[in-house]
Amino acid sequence: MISRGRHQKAEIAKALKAVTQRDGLEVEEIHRGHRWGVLRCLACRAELDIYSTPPKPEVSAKLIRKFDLNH
Amino acid sequence: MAHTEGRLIMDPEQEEHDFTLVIDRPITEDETDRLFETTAGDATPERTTQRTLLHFVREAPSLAVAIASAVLDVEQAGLTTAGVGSNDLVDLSEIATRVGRSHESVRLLAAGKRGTGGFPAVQNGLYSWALVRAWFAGYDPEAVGSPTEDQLVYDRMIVAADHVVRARSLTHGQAGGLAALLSA
Repeated sequence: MISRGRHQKAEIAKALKAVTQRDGLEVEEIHRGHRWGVLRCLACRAELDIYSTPPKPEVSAKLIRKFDLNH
Repeated sequence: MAHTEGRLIMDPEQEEHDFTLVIDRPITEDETDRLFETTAGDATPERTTQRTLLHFVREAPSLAVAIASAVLDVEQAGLTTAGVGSNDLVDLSEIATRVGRSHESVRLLAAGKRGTGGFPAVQNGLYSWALVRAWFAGYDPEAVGSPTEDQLVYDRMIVAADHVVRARSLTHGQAGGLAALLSA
């Protein structure tokens, strides 16, 4: 399910919005276990997990931006 | 708080350390959930078709303690760590790219025909970037981002940790007397 939903942590929501404004990355909401969803590279199919309640949302946001740079 | 490469200094006793552990296969959804529990959520998985990278930001008194505790937490989740992400092995072309020089310039430096000599040794056509960066820090610091001594130590510790974790995987915990070499 491709969703346009918003992560409840503001830093993560902002990072996801920024990196998915270009072609090549997509967000899939999962809402199972600890995972809120994944950020996926459409070219290589690599996926970065995004937790629902990460202990440090700013770290998740940083990893999202880094994933964008590497893909 | 002060930022340094690979770590965020919280206070003199406790620092945040960035590093990546490598699992040699994609992990399942159940394993991801177990990992969240055993690591208190400080490992973020990045899955490819062939492996999983676990990105850690962990508070600990040192990088070594952070990595060692992370490896044990991963094992507690039923997973085996294959190594520590480092991108350390590089050929001359990659060195040339990273330092912004021509291949010929780097070849001459490596051969000792230019520069101060003492370039890190090559093994099977590859060099350790941690050692090469340290060498350039003395020869042309700006070419490698003018690293501090702490940053160079961080580079070496990550590579050393990778070797130790790989040795652990190779020996299945039966390293015997070899383990003593690390602290001798």
